[in-house]
Amino acid sequence: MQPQLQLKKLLDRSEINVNLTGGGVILQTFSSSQCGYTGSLTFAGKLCLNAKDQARILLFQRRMRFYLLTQARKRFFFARHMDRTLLYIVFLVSPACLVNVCSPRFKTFVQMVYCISQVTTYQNRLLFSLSTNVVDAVINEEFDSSDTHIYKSFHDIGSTEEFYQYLQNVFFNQMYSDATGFNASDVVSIQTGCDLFT
Amino acid sequence: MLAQGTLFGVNHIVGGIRLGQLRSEALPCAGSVKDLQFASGGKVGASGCFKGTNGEFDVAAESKRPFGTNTRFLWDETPGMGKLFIPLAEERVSGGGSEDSDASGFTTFEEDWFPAPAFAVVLPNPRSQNAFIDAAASIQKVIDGQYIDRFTRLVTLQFNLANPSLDVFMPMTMYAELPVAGGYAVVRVKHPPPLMLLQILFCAQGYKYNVVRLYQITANNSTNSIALEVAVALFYLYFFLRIVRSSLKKGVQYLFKARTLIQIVSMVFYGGMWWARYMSLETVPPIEELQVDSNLFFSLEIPASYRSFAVLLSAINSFLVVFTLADYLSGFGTLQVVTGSLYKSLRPSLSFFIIFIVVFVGFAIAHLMIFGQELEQFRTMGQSSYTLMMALLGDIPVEEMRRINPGITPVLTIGYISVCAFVVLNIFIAIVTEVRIFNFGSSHTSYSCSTPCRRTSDNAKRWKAVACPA
Repeated sequence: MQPQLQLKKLLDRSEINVNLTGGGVILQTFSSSQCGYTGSLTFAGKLCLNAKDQARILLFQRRMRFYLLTQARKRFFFARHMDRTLLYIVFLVSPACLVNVCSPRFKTFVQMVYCISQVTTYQNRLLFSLSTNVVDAVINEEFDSSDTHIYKSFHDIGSTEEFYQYLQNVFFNQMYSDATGFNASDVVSIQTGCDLFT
Repeated sequence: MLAQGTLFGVNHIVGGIRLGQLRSEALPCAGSVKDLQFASGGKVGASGCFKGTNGEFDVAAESKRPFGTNTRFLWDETPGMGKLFIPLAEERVSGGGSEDSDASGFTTFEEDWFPAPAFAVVLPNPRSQNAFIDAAASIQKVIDGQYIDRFTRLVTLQFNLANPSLDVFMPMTMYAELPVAGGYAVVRVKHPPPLMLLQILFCAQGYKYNVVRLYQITANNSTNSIALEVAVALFYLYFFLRIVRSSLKKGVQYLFKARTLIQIVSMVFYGGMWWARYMSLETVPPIEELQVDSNLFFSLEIPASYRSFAVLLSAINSFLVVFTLADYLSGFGTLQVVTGSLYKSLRPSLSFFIIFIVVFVGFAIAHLMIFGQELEQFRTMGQSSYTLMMALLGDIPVEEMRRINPGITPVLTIGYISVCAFVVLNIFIAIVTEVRIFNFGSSHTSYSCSTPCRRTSDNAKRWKAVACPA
C-alpha cells in the first residue's frame, strides 16, 4: 500500500473528540493502532463557554490533529528508510536496481562506496614506507663524526657553518655516493619494462 | 661497483637537485633604536632591518641583486651552476604568483610564507657523467662564494624522486629559515600548530614532500576505480540537476536548508577535486621531456601541490559523506536519540561555545605573554592555543612552565583545568544530556510510543493553563 494512502486511512480512523458537557468537563481521546502506538488523554477542568474559549478549544483540536499527522509522517518516514535500506542491499548484488533507487539516500550509498575505494587507494603502507625511508635517509641522517661529537641531523642545524657541513658531508654523501645505491647489474633488469625511467 | 642516482635502489632521483635561497633588502629600521650607529671600515651608518618582526619574507622587499665573493650568484640563473627546466619567473607565475594562491611557494613551520626560491644552484643528476666531481665542485663554490649571508632569509634544497614500482612521484623540499632573531629555524617541536586549511597542506616541519601520482587524472589506474569514479561523477551531476530543479520549484530558501547545504558543499568540494587534478595535469612537465638523468631541475612542486590539494578535498568530501550517512541513520529508532540530541542542543550550546572561546582565548593570551619568550609551546598564539587544547587531553608541560615561573604556573594550570575542563566542558555535556532527556526521555533505549504520549500530555497541560486561567 502506498504511504500516502495509508496516511489518509490513518487520519480517517483516528479519533479526536472534544466533548463539551454542562459540568465543565472536556474529554479528549485519540488512538491509532495503525501508527503502532495508542494513547488516550482525559482531563477535567473549568469550562468556559464563551465564544473566545470555544475558539481555543477548536484550536486545540486542530493542534492535536496536526500532532497526529506529524507522528504518522514520522512513522512512514522510518518505514521508507527501511525500504531504501533493503534496496541498497539489493544494489550490492544486482546493478539492475540502479534505475529505481535514484534518491539522495542512494547518492549517499554510492558516495560511501566511493569513499571506501578511496581508502583502499590511499591506504598503502608501501607509500608510508617510501616517505619514511626517504626522510630517514636525508633528514634524520646524522652528521659526519668529524663535524660533531654528538648526534646531530638536519633538525639540529643552527648556523651557516652547520648548514654547509650538512650539505657537504651528509646530503652530498647520500645523493652522490653508493650509500643507498644498488648493484649495477640490477640496473638493466629494473629498468626493463619501465619506459619512463630508461 | 654500486650504481648511483637512487635512494634505496628503487627511488630514482629525477633531474637535478636545486639549492636555492630567498633574500631580503635591509630597510631602514623603525624602532626605538633606529638611530643606532655603527662604524664599519671607517664609515659610520645606521643598521638596516628586515621587514616584519619575525623575519617574514616580503616579495616587495625581495633582493634580486647579484651577490657572492668568488662566484656571482644571479637571481634567475647563475652561469655554470646548472639550469632550471622552467625559468624562475615563469615558475612563480604558473604557481599563482601571490601569497594566497602560489602553489610554487609554501608556508614554513614558523608560519612565514615564501615563494619559489631564487639564486638556484642546480647540482647535477647523480646518474650523469662526472656527477660526483661536478656536484662536489658546485658545493665548494657555494661555500667559497659565501652563498649564505645576512640578507638570506631562507635556504632550500629540492629534489624529485620517482618510484615506478609504486607509480608515484615524490618532490621534496628541505628548508631552513633564517629568522631576524638569528640562527636557523628548522624543526624544534613535535606537533604542527593549528594552522589554516591550506597551510596544513603546504607546510611541514623543516621539510615537505608529497607522494602523488602526477600523470593521470583519476586516483587509480585500475578499471574498477575508473568505473566507480565515472559512476560517482554521473550521480553528482544528476543530483546537481535535481537540486537546481528543486530550487526552481520550491524557491531559493530550499538552497539554505541544512541538508541541501551539505549536499552543495559536497558538490563544490567534488568539483574542486577535479579542478585540482586538472590543474595538476596542466602544470606538470610533459612526460616525454621529463628525463630522469637530465641535469635540469624539474619543478614538480606545483603539480604535486595541486594533486595533494585534490586529495585534501576528497578527504573532506569523505567526511561530509559520512556525515550525511549519520543523518540518514538518524531515521532509525534509538540512533535518533544521539543525532537528535546533538542537533537539538546546537542552539543551547551556542552560549557555551561563546563562553568557552572567550575563556580559552584569555588563557591562551596569558600563557603566551608569560611563557612565549622561553617555551616554544607558547611562542605564538597558534602554538599557545594548540598547547592548551592538548592540555585538555592531559598533555601540559607543567614542569617546563614551573621552571620559567614557579609562582604563576600552578595558578594558571589549576585555573585553566578547573574552568575549562571541569566546569565548561561538563556544562556542555549537561546541556546535551538535558536536551536528550527532555526530548527523548531518560531511558537509554527509549524512543517508544510513550514519548509522543508524554509530549501530548504536556501540550494538553499547557492548553489547559491558557484556556482556563484560574
